[in-house]
Amino acid sequence: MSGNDAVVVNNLTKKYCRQVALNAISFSIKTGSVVGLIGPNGAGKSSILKILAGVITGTSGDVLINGDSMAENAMQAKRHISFMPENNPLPDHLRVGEYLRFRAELKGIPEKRIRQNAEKVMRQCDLYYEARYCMIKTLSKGYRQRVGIADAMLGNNEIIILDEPTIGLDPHQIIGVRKIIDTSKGTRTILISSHILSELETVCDNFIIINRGHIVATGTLDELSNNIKEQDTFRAKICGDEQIIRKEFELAGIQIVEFKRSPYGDEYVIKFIATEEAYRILLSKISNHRELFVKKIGYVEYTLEEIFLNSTRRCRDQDDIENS
Amino acid sequence: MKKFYTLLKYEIYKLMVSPATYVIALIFTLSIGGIFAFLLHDYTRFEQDIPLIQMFCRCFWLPTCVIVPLLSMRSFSEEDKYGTFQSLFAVPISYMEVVLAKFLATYGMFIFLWLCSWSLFLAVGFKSGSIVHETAFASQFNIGGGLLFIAVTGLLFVAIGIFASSLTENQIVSCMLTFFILLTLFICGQFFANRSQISNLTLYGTYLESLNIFSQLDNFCNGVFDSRIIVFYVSTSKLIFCFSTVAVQRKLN
Repeated sequence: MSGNDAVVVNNLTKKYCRQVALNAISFSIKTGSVVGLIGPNGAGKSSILKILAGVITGTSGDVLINGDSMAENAMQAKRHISFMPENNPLPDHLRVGEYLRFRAELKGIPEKRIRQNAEKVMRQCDLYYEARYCMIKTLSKGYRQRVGIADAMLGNNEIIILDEPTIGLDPHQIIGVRKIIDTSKGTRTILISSHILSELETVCDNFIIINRGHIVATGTLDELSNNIKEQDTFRAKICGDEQIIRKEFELAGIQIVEFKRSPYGDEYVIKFIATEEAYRILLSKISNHRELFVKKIGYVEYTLEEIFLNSTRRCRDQDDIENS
Repeated sequence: MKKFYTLLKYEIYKLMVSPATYVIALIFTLSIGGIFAFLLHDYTRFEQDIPLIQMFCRCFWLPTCVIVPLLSMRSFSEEDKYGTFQSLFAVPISYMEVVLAKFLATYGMFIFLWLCSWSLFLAVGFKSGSIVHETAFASQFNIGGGLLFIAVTGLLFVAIGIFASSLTENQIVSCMLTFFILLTLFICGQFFANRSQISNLTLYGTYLESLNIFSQLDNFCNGVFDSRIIVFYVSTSKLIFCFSTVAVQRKLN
Protein backbone atom coordinates (compact mmCIF):
# COMPACT_ATOMS: atom_id res chain seq x y z
CA MET A 1 0.00 0.00 0.00
CA SER A 2 1.33 3.42 -0.88
CA GLY A 3 0.42 6.61 0.92
CA ASN A 4 -1.84 7.88 -1.84
CA ASP A 5 -4.06 4.83 -2.12
CA ALA A 6 -7.71 5.55 -1.36
CA VAL A 7 -8.75 1.90 -1.42
CA VAL A 8 -6.62 -1.12 -0.63
CA VAL A 9 -8.04 -4.62 -0.86
CA ASN A 10 -5.98 -7.41 0.70
CA ASN A 11 -6.71 -11.08 0.02
CA LEU A 12 -10.42 -10.50 0.07
CA THR A 13 -12.55 -13.63 -0.07
CA LYS A 14 -16.30 -13.77 -0.05
CA LYS A 15 -18.26 -16.99 0.15
CA TYR A 16 -22.03 -17.40 -0.05
CA CYS A 17 -22.49 -20.78 1.62
CA ARG A 18 -20.14 -22.94 -0.45
CA GLN A 19 -20.13 -20.66 -3.47
CA VAL A 20 -16.93 -18.63 -3.69
CA ALA A 21 -17.82 -15.21 -5.08
CA LEU A 22 -14.40 -13.61 -4.53
CA ASN A 23 -11.26 -15.64 -4.23
CA ALA A 24 -8.46 -13.89 -2.31
CA ILE A 25 -8.41 -10.80 -4.51
CA SER A 26 -6.04 -7.89 -3.92
CA PHE A 27 -5.85 -4.52 -5.61
CA SER A 28 -5.51 -0.86 -4.78
CA ILE A 29 -7.00 2.35 -6.14
CA LYS A 30 -5.11 5.63 -6.18
CA THR A 31 -6.67 8.74 -4.66
CA GLY A 32 -8.44 10.89 -7.21
CA SER A 33 -8.56 8.28 -9.95
CA VAL A 34 -11.62 7.06 -11.80
CA VAL A 35 -11.61 3.29 -11.96
CA GLY A 36 -13.85 1.03 -14.00
CA LEU A 37 -14.70 -2.38 -12.61
CA ILE A 38 -15.71 -4.74 -15.36
CA GLY A 39 -16.54 -8.39 -15.60
CA PRO A 40 -19.18 -10.76 -16.92
CA ASN A 41 -22.39 -11.39 -15.00
CA GLY A 42 -21.74 -13.31 -11.79
CA ALA A 43 -18.04 -12.40 -11.80
CA GLY A 44 -18.26 -10.85 -8.32
CA LYS A 45 -18.41 -7.14 -9.21
CA SER A 46 -21.39 -6.29 -7.03
CA SER A 47 -19.94 -8.30 -4.15
CA ILE A 48 -16.73 -6.25 -4.30
CA LEU A 49 -18.66 -2.99 -4.42
CA LYS A 50 -20.93 -3.97 -1.53
CA ILE A 51 -17.94 -4.98 0.59
CA LEU A 52 -16.15 -1.74 -0.23
CA ALA A 53 -19.29 0.20 0.73
CA GLY A 54 -19.59 -1.73 3.98
CA VAL A 55 -23.01 -3.14 3.14
CA ILE A 56 -21.77 -6.71 3.48
CA THR A 57 -18.63 -8.13 5.02
CA GLY A 58 -16.02 -10.33 3.43
CA THR A 59 -15.45 -13.88 4.63
CA SER A 60 -11.72 -13.20 5.02
CA GLY A 61 -9.22 -10.55 4.06
CA ASP A 62 -9.50 -6.83 4.62
CA VAL A 63 -10.42 -3.60 2.91
CA LEU A 64 -8.77 -0.31 3.84
CA ILE A 65 -10.66 2.85 2.98
CA ASN A 66 -8.36 5.84 3.30
CA GLY A 67 -6.40 3.80 5.82
CA ASP A 68 -9.44 2.76 7.89
CA SER A 69 -10.11 -0.95 8.04
CA MET A 70 -13.61 -1.97 7.05
CA ALA A 71 -13.32 -5.11 9.20
CA GLU A 72 -12.11 -3.35 12.34
CA ASN A 73 -13.64 0.11 12.12
CA ALA A 74 -16.52 -0.04 9.65
CA MET A 75 -18.20 3.13 10.95
CA GLN A 76 -15.11 5.24 10.34
CA ALA A 77 -14.41 3.61 6.98
CA LYS A 78 -17.98 4.17 5.81
CA ARG A 79 -17.64 7.91 6.42
CA HIS A 80 -15.33 8.11 3.40
CA ILE A 81 -17.72 6.31 1.07
CA SER A 82 -20.81 7.12 -0.90
CA PHE A 83 -22.51 4.21 -2.64
CA MET A 84 -25.11 3.90 -5.35
CA PRO A 85 -26.26 0.26 -5.44
CA GLU A 86 -27.23 -1.72 -8.50
CA ASN A 87 -30.85 -1.12 -9.65
CA ASN A 88 -30.82 1.97 -7.45
CA PRO A 89 -33.49 1.06 -4.88
CA LEU A 90 -35.35 4.13 -3.58
CA PRO A 91 -38.20 4.61 -1.10
CA ASP A 92 -41.32 5.38 -3.11
CA HIS A 93 -43.15 7.36 -0.46
CA LEU A 94 -40.76 10.33 -0.36
CA ARG A 95 -40.29 13.33 -2.61
CA VAL A 96 -36.91 13.80 -4.28
CA GLY A 97 -35.98 16.75 -2.06
CA GLU A 98 -37.11 14.93 1.09
CA TYR A 99 -35.14 11.85 0.16
CA LEU A 100 -31.94 13.78 -0.44
CA ARG A 101 -32.42 15.60 2.85
CA PHE A 102 -32.92 12.30 4.65
CA ARG A 103 -29.78 10.87 3.06
CA ALA A 104 -27.81 14.01 3.89
CA GLU A 105 -28.82 13.72 7.55
CA LEU A 106 -27.82 10.05 7.60
CA LYS A 107 -24.48 10.89 6.02
CA GLY A 108 -23.87 13.34 8.84
CA ILE A 109 -23.82 16.53 6.77
CA PRO A 110 -24.19 19.52 9.14
CA GLU A 111 -27.73 20.91 9.31
CA LYS A 112 -26.71 24.30 7.87
CA ARG A 113 -25.21 22.75 4.76
CA ILE A 114 -27.87 20.16 3.98
CA ARG A 115 -30.05 22.47 1.90
CA GLN A 116 -27.11 23.91 0.00
CA ASN A 117 -25.67 20.45 -0.67
CA ALA A 118 -28.98 18.97 -1.77
CA GLU A 119 -29.65 21.88 -4.14
CA LYS A 120 -26.18 21.61 -5.62
CA VAL A 121 -26.51 17.91 -6.47
CA MET A 122 -30.06 18.38 -7.74
CA ARG A 123 -28.80 21.06 -10.14
CA GLN A 124 -25.89 18.86 -11.20
CA CYS A 125 -28.23 15.99 -11.95
CA ASP A 126 -30.95 18.11 -13.62
CA LEU A 127 -33.45 17.40 -10.90
CA TYR A 128 -33.84 20.82 -9.35
CA TYR A 129 -36.46 22.32 -11.64
CA GLU A 130 -38.17 19.22 -12.94
CA ALA A 131 -38.31 16.68 -10.17
CA ARG A 132 -37.52 18.38 -6.89
CA TYR A 133 -41.06 18.09 -5.50
CA CYS A 134 -42.01 14.90 -7.32
CA MET A 135 -42.80 11.72 -5.45
CA ILE A 136 -40.13 9.14 -6.21
CA LYS A 137 -42.75 6.57 -7.18
CA THR A 138 -43.90 8.79 -10.06
CA LEU A 139 -40.41 9.17 -11.57
CA SER A 140 -39.26 7.49 -14.76
CA LYS A 141 -36.30 5.13 -14.69
CA GLY A 142 -33.96 7.83 -15.95
CA TYR A 143 -35.00 10.25 -13.22
CA ARG A 144 -34.73 7.57 -10.56
CA GLN A 145 -31.24 6.83 -11.78
CA ARG A 146 -30.38 10.51 -11.50
CA VAL A 147 -31.73 10.62 -7.95
CA GLY A 148 -29.40 7.73 -7.11
CA ILE A 149 -26.44 9.56 -8.64
CA ALA A 150 -27.41 12.75 -6.79
CA ASP A 151 -27.48 10.76 -3.56
CA ALA A 152 -24.03 9.34 -4.29
CA MET A 153 -22.66 12.81 -4.99
CA LEU A 154 -24.21 14.27 -1.84
CA GLY A 155 -21.75 15.30 0.85
CA ASN A 156 -18.01 15.33 0.85
CA ASN A 157 -17.28 11.62 0.74
CA GLU A 158 -13.86 11.09 -0.78
CA ILE A 159 -14.77 7.82 -2.48
CA ILE A 160 -17.81 7.30 -4.66
CA ILE A 161 -18.92 3.85 -5.72
CA LEU A 162 -21.41 3.61 -8.56
CA ASP A 163 -22.89 0.29 -9.58
CA GLU A 164 -24.28 0.54 -13.13
CA PRO A 165 -24.96 4.30 -12.95
CA THR A 166 -25.91 4.91 -16.57
CA ILE A 167 -28.50 2.16 -17.00
CA GLY A 168 -31.77 3.65 -18.23
CA LEU A 169 -30.29 7.03 -19.09
CA ASP A 170 -30.60 8.61 -22.52
CA PRO A 171 -27.46 9.85 -24.34
CA HIS A 172 -27.90 13.42 -23.05
CA GLN A 173 -28.14 12.21 -19.50
CA ILE A 174 -25.15 9.93 -19.99
CA ILE A 175 -23.14 12.95 -21.10
CA GLY A 176 -24.43 14.72 -17.98
CA VAL A 177 -23.20 11.89 -15.75
CA ARG A 178 -19.88 11.96 -17.58
CA LYS A 179 -19.58 15.69 -16.84
CA ILE A 180 -20.32 15.12 -13.16
CA ILE A 181 -17.63 12.45 -13.01
CA ASP A 182 -15.21 14.68 -14.88
CA THR A 183 -15.72 17.54 -12.43
CA SER A 184 -14.99 15.16 -9.54
CA LYS A 185 -11.83 13.82 -11.16
CA GLY A 186 -8.75 14.43 -9.08
CA THR A 187 -10.68 15.44 -5.98
CA ARG A 188 -12.71 12.31 -5.45
CA THR A 189 -11.92 8.69 -6.10
CA ILE A 190 -14.61 7.08 -8.20
CA LEU A 191 -15.18 3.39 -8.75
CA ILE A 192 -17.71 2.52 -11.44
CA SER A 193 -19.06 -0.83 -12.44
CA SER A 194 -20.79 -1.00 -15.79
CA HIS A 195 -21.46 -3.21 -18.77
CA ILE A 196 -21.36 -0.22 -21.11
CA LEU A 197 -17.66 -0.54 -21.89
CA SER A 198 -17.50 2.34 -24.35
CA GLU A 199 -18.78 4.59 -21.58
CA LEU A 200 -16.16 3.36 -19.12
CA GLU A 201 -13.47 3.77 -21.75
CA THR A 202 -14.37 7.46 -21.95
CA VAL A 203 -14.47 8.28 -18.25
CA CYS A 204 -12.06 5.90 -16.51
CA ASP A 205 -8.30 6.21 -16.04
CA ASN A 206 -7.82 2.69 -14.77
CA PHE A 207 -9.61 -0.59 -15.08
CA ILE A 208 -10.02 -3.71 -13.01
CA ILE A 209 -11.22 -6.78 -14.90
CA ILE A 210 -12.72 -9.50 -12.78
CA ASN A 211 -13.89 -12.95 -13.75
CA ARG A 212 -15.14 -15.82 -11.61
CA GLY A 213 -14.00 -14.15 -8.42
CA HIS A 214 -10.46 -13.50 -9.63
CA ILE A 215 -8.80 -10.29 -10.76
CA VAL A 216 -7.89 -11.02 -14.36
CA ALA A 217 -6.17 -7.74 -15.22
CA THR A 218 -5.65 -4.24 -13.86
CA GLY A 219 -4.15 -1.06 -15.27
CA THR A 220 -4.71 1.73 -17.75
CA LEU A 221 -6.12 1.01 -21.19
CA ASP A 222 -2.61 1.10 -22.68
CA GLU A 223 -1.23 -1.25 -20.04
CA LEU A 224 -4.08 -3.67 -20.54
CA SER A 225 -3.68 -3.43 -24.28
CA ASN A 226 0.05 -4.17 -23.99
CA ASN A 227 -0.68 -7.19 -21.82
CA ILE A 228 -2.79 -8.87 -24.43
CA LYS A 229 -0.93 -7.54 -27.47
CA GLU A 230 0.27 -10.40 -29.62
CA GLN A 231 3.82 -9.80 -30.72
CA ASP A 232 4.12 -7.86 -33.98
CA THR A 233 0.46 -7.85 -34.81
CA PHE A 234 -0.62 -5.00 -37.05
CA ARG A 235 -3.84 -3.74 -38.51
CA ALA A 236 -4.24 -1.89 -41.79
CA LYS A 237 -7.13 -0.21 -43.54
CA ILE A 238 -6.42 -0.16 -47.28
CA CYS A 239 -8.52 0.90 -50.27
CA GLY A 240 -7.97 -0.90 -53.55
CA ASP A 241 -8.28 -4.19 -55.32
CA GLU A 242 -8.30 -7.28 -53.11
CA GLN A 243 -6.01 -9.29 -55.38
CA ILE A 244 -3.40 -6.55 -55.51
CA ILE A 245 -3.43 -6.13 -51.73
CA ARG A 246 -3.02 -9.87 -51.15
CA LYS A 247 -0.20 -10.00 -53.69
CA GLU A 248 1.71 -7.15 -52.02
CA PHE A 249 1.45 -8.87 -48.64
CA GLU A 250 2.65 -12.10 -50.17
CA LEU A 251 5.63 -10.40 -51.79
CA ALA A 252 6.62 -8.84 -48.46
CA GLY A 253 6.42 -12.31 -46.87
CA ILE A 254 3.68 -11.30 -44.43
CA GLN A 255 1.11 -13.65 -43.02
CA ILE A 256 -2.45 -12.34 -43.05
CA VAL A 257 -4.49 -13.28 -39.98
CA GLU A 258 -7.73 -11.61 -40.89
CA PHE A 259 -8.97 -10.06 -44.11
CA LYS A 260 -12.29 -8.24 -43.97
CA ARG A 261 -14.09 -6.19 -46.56
CA SER A 262 -15.45 -2.97 -45.17
CA PRO A 263 -19.11 -2.13 -45.89
CA TYR A 264 -17.93 1.18 -47.39
CA GLY A 265 -16.80 0.10 -50.88
CA ASP A 266 -13.39 -1.27 -51.81
CA GLU A 267 -11.91 -0.88 -48.39
CA TYR A 268 -10.31 -3.75 -46.53
CA VAL A 269 -9.38 -4.19 -42.89
CA ILE A 270 -6.41 -6.51 -42.61
CA LYS A 271 -4.88 -7.93 -39.47
CA PHE A 272 -1.42 -9.38 -40.03
CA ILE A 273 1.69 -10.60 -38.24
CA ALA A 274 5.02 -9.27 -39.46
CA THR A 275 8.54 -8.58 -38.34
CA GLU A 276 9.65 -4.97 -38.11
CA GLU A 277 11.61 -5.27 -41.38
CA ALA A 278 8.82 -6.95 -43.31
CA TYR A 279 6.43 -4.30 -42.07
CA ARG A 280 8.72 -1.52 -43.39
CA ILE A 281 9.02 -3.20 -46.78
CA LEU A 282 5.28 -3.57 -47.01
CA LEU A 283 4.73 0.00 -45.96
CA SER A 284 7.07 1.41 -48.62
CA LYS A 285 5.53 -0.80 -51.31
CA ILE A 286 1.89 -0.14 -50.66
CA SER A 287 2.28 3.54 -49.91
CA ASN A 288 3.93 4.04 -53.29
CA HIS A 289 1.51 1.81 -55.13
CA ARG A 290 -0.66 3.72 -57.58
CA GLU A 291 -3.76 1.58 -57.19
CA LEU A 292 -3.71 1.33 -53.42
CA PHE A 293 -4.53 3.90 -50.82
CA VAL A 294 -3.50 3.27 -47.21
CA LYS A 295 -6.02 4.86 -44.88
CA LYS A 296 -4.55 3.59 -41.63
CA ILE A 297 -1.79 1.21 -40.64
CA GLY A 298 -0.02 0.41 -37.39
CA TYR A 299 0.12 -1.80 -34.33
CA VAL A 300 -3.21 -3.19 -33.27
CA GLU A 301 -4.94 -0.91 -30.74
CA TYR A 302 -7.39 -2.80 -28.64
CA THR A 303 -10.65 -1.37 -27.44
CA LEU A 304 -11.78 -2.02 -23.89
CA GLU A 305 -14.32 -4.45 -25.27
CA GLU A 306 -11.62 -6.48 -27.01
CA ILE A 307 -9.44 -6.41 -23.90
CA PHE A 308 -12.38 -7.50 -21.76
CA LEU A 309 -13.36 -10.33 -24.09
CA ASN A 310 -9.78 -11.47 -24.41
CA SER A 311 -9.05 -11.38 -20.67
CA THR A 312 -12.21 -13.14 -19.61
CA ARG A 313 -11.87 -15.75 -22.38
CA ARG A 314 -8.27 -16.44 -21.39
CA CYS A 315 -9.31 -16.90 -17.77
CA ARG A 316 -12.08 -19.28 -18.80
CA ASP A 317 -9.69 -21.30 -20.94
CA GLN A 318 -7.24 -21.61 -18.04
CA ASP A 319 -10.05 -22.77 -15.77
CA ASP A 320 -11.13 -25.36 -18.33
CA ILE A 321 -7.57 -26.67 -18.61
CA GLU A 322 -7.26 -26.89 -14.82
CA ASN A 323 -10.61 -28.67 -14.55
CA SER A 324 -9.76 -31.17 -17.26
CA MET B 1 -27.40 9.71 18.01
CA LYS B 2 -28.57 12.33 15.50
CA LYS B 3 -28.57 9.71 12.79
CA PHE B 4 -30.69 7.45 14.95
CA TYR B 5 -33.27 10.22 15.42
CA THR B 6 -33.25 10.81 11.67
CA LEU B 7 -33.91 7.15 11.13
CA LEU B 8 -36.62 7.04 13.79
CA LYS B 9 -38.28 10.12 12.30
CA TYR B 10 -38.16 8.48 8.89
CA GLU B 11 -39.72 5.26 10.19
CA ILE B 12 -42.52 7.16 11.92
CA TYR B 13 -43.11 9.21 8.78
CA LYS B 14 -43.20 6.02 6.72
CA LEU B 15 -45.90 4.63 9.00
CA MET B 16 -47.86 7.88 8.99
CA VAL B 17 -47.97 8.30 5.22
CA SER B 18 -48.87 4.69 4.56
CA PRO B 19 -52.58 4.06 3.90
CA ALA B 20 -52.08 0.61 5.41
CA THR B 21 -51.51 2.21 8.82
CA TYR B 22 -54.92 3.88 8.67
CA VAL B 23 -56.58 0.63 7.65
CA ILE B 24 -54.89 -1.06 10.62
CA ALA B 25 -56.08 1.77 12.89
CA LEU B 26 -59.61 1.30 11.57
CA ILE B 27 -59.51 -2.45 12.17
CA PHE B 28 -58.19 -1.81 15.64
CA THR B 29 -60.83 0.79 16.46
CA LEU B 30 -63.61 -1.46 15.18
CA SER B 31 -62.40 -4.46 17.18
CA ILE B 32 -61.90 -2.38 20.34
CA GLY B 33 -65.29 -0.72 19.86
CA GLY B 34 -66.94 -4.11 19.34
CA ILE B 35 -65.38 -5.59 22.45
CA PHE B 36 -66.26 -2.54 24.52
CA ALA B 37 -69.87 -2.42 23.32
CA PHE B 38 -70.30 -6.13 24.01
CA LEU B 39 -68.87 -5.85 27.53
CA LEU B 40 -70.86 -2.70 28.32
CA HIS B 41 -74.02 -4.43 27.21
CA ASP B 42 -73.26 -7.32 29.58
CA TYR B 43 -72.45 -4.99 32.46
CA THR B 44 -75.73 -3.10 32.16
CA ARG B 45 -77.70 -6.35 32.35
CA PHE B 46 -75.87 -8.44 34.96
CA GLU B 47 -73.92 -7.70 38.09
CA GLN B 48 -70.18 -8.39 37.65
CA ASP B 49 -67.44 -9.18 40.18
CA ILE B 50 -64.61 -7.44 38.42
CA PRO B 51 -64.43 -3.90 37.06
CA LEU B 52 -65.28 -3.38 33.40
CA ILE B 53 -61.85 -2.11 32.53
CA GLN B 54 -60.21 -5.28 33.87
CA MET B 55 -62.56 -7.40 31.82
CA PHE B 56 -61.81 -5.18 28.84
CA CYS B 57 -58.07 -5.67 29.40
CA ARG B 58 -58.55 -9.41 29.45
CA CYS B 59 -59.62 -9.16 25.83
CA PHE B 60 -56.47 -7.26 24.86
CA TRP B 61 -55.02 -10.35 23.18
CA LEU B 62 -57.50 -10.18 20.32
CA PRO B 63 -56.67 -6.71 18.95
CA THR B 64 -52.99 -7.30 19.80
CA CYS B 65 -52.94 -10.48 17.72
CA VAL B 66 -54.32 -8.49 14.80
CA ILE B 67 -52.48 -5.17 14.90
CA VAL B 68 -48.97 -6.24 15.90
CA PRO B 69 -48.48 -8.50 12.84
CA LEU B 70 -50.02 -5.86 10.56
CA LEU B 71 -47.90 -3.02 11.94
CA SER B 72 -44.61 -4.89 12.03
CA MET B 73 -44.85 -6.96 8.86
CA ARG B 74 -43.53 -4.20 6.61
CA SER B 75 -40.60 -3.03 8.71
CA PHE B 76 -37.89 -5.24 7.27
CA SER B 77 -39.75 -7.26 4.67
CA GLU B 78 -40.41 -4.15 2.59
CA GLU B 79 -36.81 -2.89 2.81
CA ASP B 80 -35.63 -6.33 1.81
CA LYS B 81 -38.05 -6.59 -1.08
CA TYR B 82 -37.18 -3.21 -2.59
CA GLY B 83 -33.47 -3.52 -1.79
CA THR B 84 -33.30 -0.21 0.13
CA PHE B 85 -31.29 -2.07 2.77
CA GLN B 86 -28.16 -1.63 0.68
CA SER B 87 -28.22 2.13 0.53
CA LEU B 88 -29.29 2.27 4.19
CA PHE B 89 -26.33 0.27 5.42
CA ALA B 90 -23.87 2.07 3.15
CA VAL B 91 -23.99 5.04 5.53
CA PRO B 92 -22.23 4.89 8.92
CA ILE B 93 -25.12 3.48 10.90
CA SER B 94 -25.19 0.25 12.89
CA TYR B 95 -27.55 -2.68 12.46
CA MET B 96 -28.76 -2.13 16.00
CA GLU B 97 -29.71 1.49 15.33
CA VAL B 98 -31.75 0.46 12.29
CA VAL B 99 -33.53 -2.33 14.17
CA LEU B 100 -34.13 -0.07 17.18
CA ALA B 101 -35.58 2.70 15.00
CA LYS B 102 -38.00 0.28 13.35
CA PHE B 103 -38.88 -1.27 16.67
CA LEU B 104 -39.56 2.06 18.40
CA ALA B 105 -41.62 3.38 15.49
CA THR B 106 -43.82 0.27 15.48
CA TYR B 107 -44.02 0.19 19.27
CA GLY B 108 -44.89 3.90 19.33
CA MET B 109 -47.73 3.30 16.90
CA PHE B 110 -48.93 0.31 18.94
CA ILE B 111 -49.03 2.40 22.14
CA PHE B 112 -50.58 5.36 20.33
CA LEU B 113 -53.46 3.20 19.09
CA TRP B 114 -54.05 1.79 22.58
CA LEU B 115 -53.94 5.26 24.14
CA CYS B 116 -56.48 6.52 21.63
CA SER B 117 -58.79 3.63 22.39
CA TRP B 118 -58.26 4.22 26.12
CA SER B 119 -59.23 7.86 25.92
CA LEU B 120 -62.42 6.99 24.05
CA PHE B 121 -63.13 4.28 26.56
CA LEU B 122 -62.63 6.58 29.53
CA ALA B 123 -64.71 9.35 28.01
CA VAL B 124 -67.65 7.04 27.42
CA GLY B 125 -67.22 5.41 30.83
CA PHE B 126 -67.14 8.54 32.97
CA LYS B 127 -70.02 10.14 31.12
CA SER B 128 -72.25 7.14 31.71
CA GLY B 129 -72.09 7.03 35.48
CA SER B 130 -75.80 6.44 35.64
CA ILE B 131 -75.53 3.26 33.62
CA VAL B 132 -72.51 1.74 35.32
CA HIS B 133 -71.38 2.45 38.84
CA GLU B 134 -67.97 4.16 38.84
CA THR B 135 -66.22 1.56 41.02
CA ALA B 136 -67.61 -1.19 38.86
CA PHE B 137 -66.27 0.62 35.87
CA ALA B 138 -62.70 1.41 36.83
CA SER B 139 -60.33 2.52 39.54
CA GLN B 140 -57.06 4.39 39.09
CA PHE B 141 -55.16 1.11 39.64
CA ASN B 142 -57.20 -0.61 36.97
CA ILE B 143 -56.50 2.12 34.45
CA GLY B 144 -52.80 2.57 35.21
CA GLY B 145 -52.14 -1.13 35.73
CA GLY B 146 -53.94 -2.17 32.57
CA LEU B 147 -52.09 0.40 30.51
CA LEU B 148 -48.74 -0.50 32.05
CA PHE B 149 -49.34 -4.17 31.38
CA ILE B 150 -50.21 -3.55 27.74
CA ALA B 151 -47.16 -1.29 27.39
CA VAL B 152 -44.81 -3.84 28.95
CA THR B 153 -46.13 -6.88 27.10
CA GLY B 154 -46.28 -4.77 23.93
CA LEU B 155 -42.48 -4.60 24.03
CA LEU B 156 -42.30 -8.37 23.64
CA PHE B 157 -45.08 -8.62 21.05
CA VAL B 158 -43.64 -5.89 18.85
CA ALA B 159 -40.14 -7.40 19.21
CA ILE B 160 -41.58 -10.70 17.97
CA GLY B 161 -43.22 -8.91 15.02
CA ILE B 162 -39.97 -7.16 14.09
CA PHE B 163 -38.07 -10.43 14.39
CA ALA B 164 -40.53 -12.23 12.10
CA SER B 165 -40.23 -9.38 9.60
CA SER B 166 -36.43 -9.63 9.64
CA LEU B 167 -36.64 -13.31 8.72
CA THR B 168 -38.50 -13.01 5.45
CA GLU B 169 -39.00 -10.60 2.57
CA ASN B 170 -42.60 -11.69 2.18
CA GLN B 171 -44.94 -9.49 4.19
CA ILE B 172 -47.73 -12.08 4.29
CA VAL B 173 -45.36 -14.71 5.67
CA SER B 174 -44.08 -12.23 8.23
CA CYS B 175 -47.63 -11.32 9.27
CA MET B 176 -48.74 -14.93 9.59
CA LEU B 177 -45.62 -15.90 11.50
CA THR B 178 -46.15 -13.12 14.04
CA PHE B 179 -49.83 -13.94 14.36
CA PHE B 180 -49.06 -17.60 14.93
CA ILE B 181 -46.38 -16.89 17.56
CA LEU B 182 -48.59 -14.42 19.44
CA LEU B 183 -51.58 -16.73 19.32
CA THR B 184 -49.40 -19.57 20.65
CA LEU B 185 -48.24 -17.33 23.48
CA PHE B 186 -51.82 -16.47 24.47
CA ILE B 187 -53.01 -20.07 24.15
CA CYS B 188 -50.06 -21.18 26.31
CA GLY B 189 -50.98 -18.44 28.77
CA GLN B 190 -54.51 -19.84 29.03
CA PHE B 191 -53.15 -23.38 29.24
CA PHE B 192 -50.84 -22.39 32.11
CA ALA B 193 -53.79 -20.74 33.83
CA ASN B 194 -55.78 -23.98 33.70
CA ARG B 195 -52.83 -26.14 34.75
CA SER B 196 -51.90 -23.86 37.64
CA GLN B 197 -55.45 -24.16 38.98
CA ILE B 198 -55.16 -27.97 38.91
CA SER B 199 -51.73 -28.16 40.51
CA ASN B 200 -52.26 -25.29 42.90
CA LEU B 201 -49.95 -24.86 45.91
CA THR B 202 -47.23 -27.03 44.37
CA LEU B 203 -43.94 -25.58 43.09
CA TYR B 204 -44.98 -26.60 39.58
CA GLY B 205 -48.25 -24.74 40.00
CA THR B 206 -46.48 -21.60 41.21
CA TYR B 207 -44.12 -21.77 38.27
CA LEU B 208 -46.98 -22.13 35.80
CA GLU B 209 -48.84 -19.34 37.53
CA SER B 210 -45.90 -17.00 36.97
CA LEU B 211 -46.06 -17.71 33.23
CA ASN B 212 -49.79 -17.15 33.05
CA ILE B 213 -50.21 -13.97 31.08
CA PHE B 214 -53.83 -13.44 32.17
CA SER B 215 -53.01 -13.83 35.85
CA GLN B 216 -50.22 -11.24 35.39
CA LEU B 217 -52.77 -8.94 33.79
CA ASP B 218 -55.17 -9.35 36.73
CA ASN B 219 -52.37 -8.54 39.16
CA PHE B 220 -51.47 -5.38 37.28
CA CYS B 221 -55.11 -4.31 37.06
CA ASN B 222 -55.45 -4.82 40.81
CA GLY B 223 -52.47 -2.57 41.46
CA VAL B 224 -49.92 -5.34 42.10
CA PHE B 225 -46.97 -4.24 39.97
CA ASP B 226 -44.59 -7.17 40.07
CA SER B 227 -41.19 -5.89 38.98
CA ARG B 228 -40.12 -9.43 38.05
CA ILE B 229 -42.76 -9.47 35.36
CA ILE B 230 -41.51 -6.15 33.99
CA VAL B 231 -37.92 -7.42 34.02
CA PHE B 232 -39.04 -10.65 32.33
CA TYR B 233 -40.79 -8.86 29.44
CA VAL B 234 -38.10 -6.21 29.00
CA SER B 235 -35.26 -8.75 28.96
CA THR B 236 -37.11 -11.17 26.67
CA SER B 237 -37.86 -8.38 24.23
CA LYS B 238 -34.21 -7.34 24.38
CA LEU B 239 -33.18 -10.91 23.56
CA ILE B 240 -35.54 -11.08 20.60
CA PHE B 241 -34.39 -7.63 19.54
CA CYS B 242 -30.82 -8.99 19.46
CA PHE B 243 -32.01 -11.96 17.37
CA SER B 244 -33.55 -9.49 14.91
CA THR B 245 -30.25 -7.62 14.66
CA VAL B 246 -28.41 -10.86 13.94
CA ALA B 247 -31.07 -11.91 11.43
CA VAL B 248 -30.71 -8.62 9.53
CA GLN B 249 -26.94 -8.95 9.55
CA ARG B 250 -27.12 -12.54 8.32
CA LYS B 251 -29.62 -11.65 5.64
CA LEU B 252 -27.37 -8.97 4.16
CA ASN B 253 -24.33 -11.22 4.15
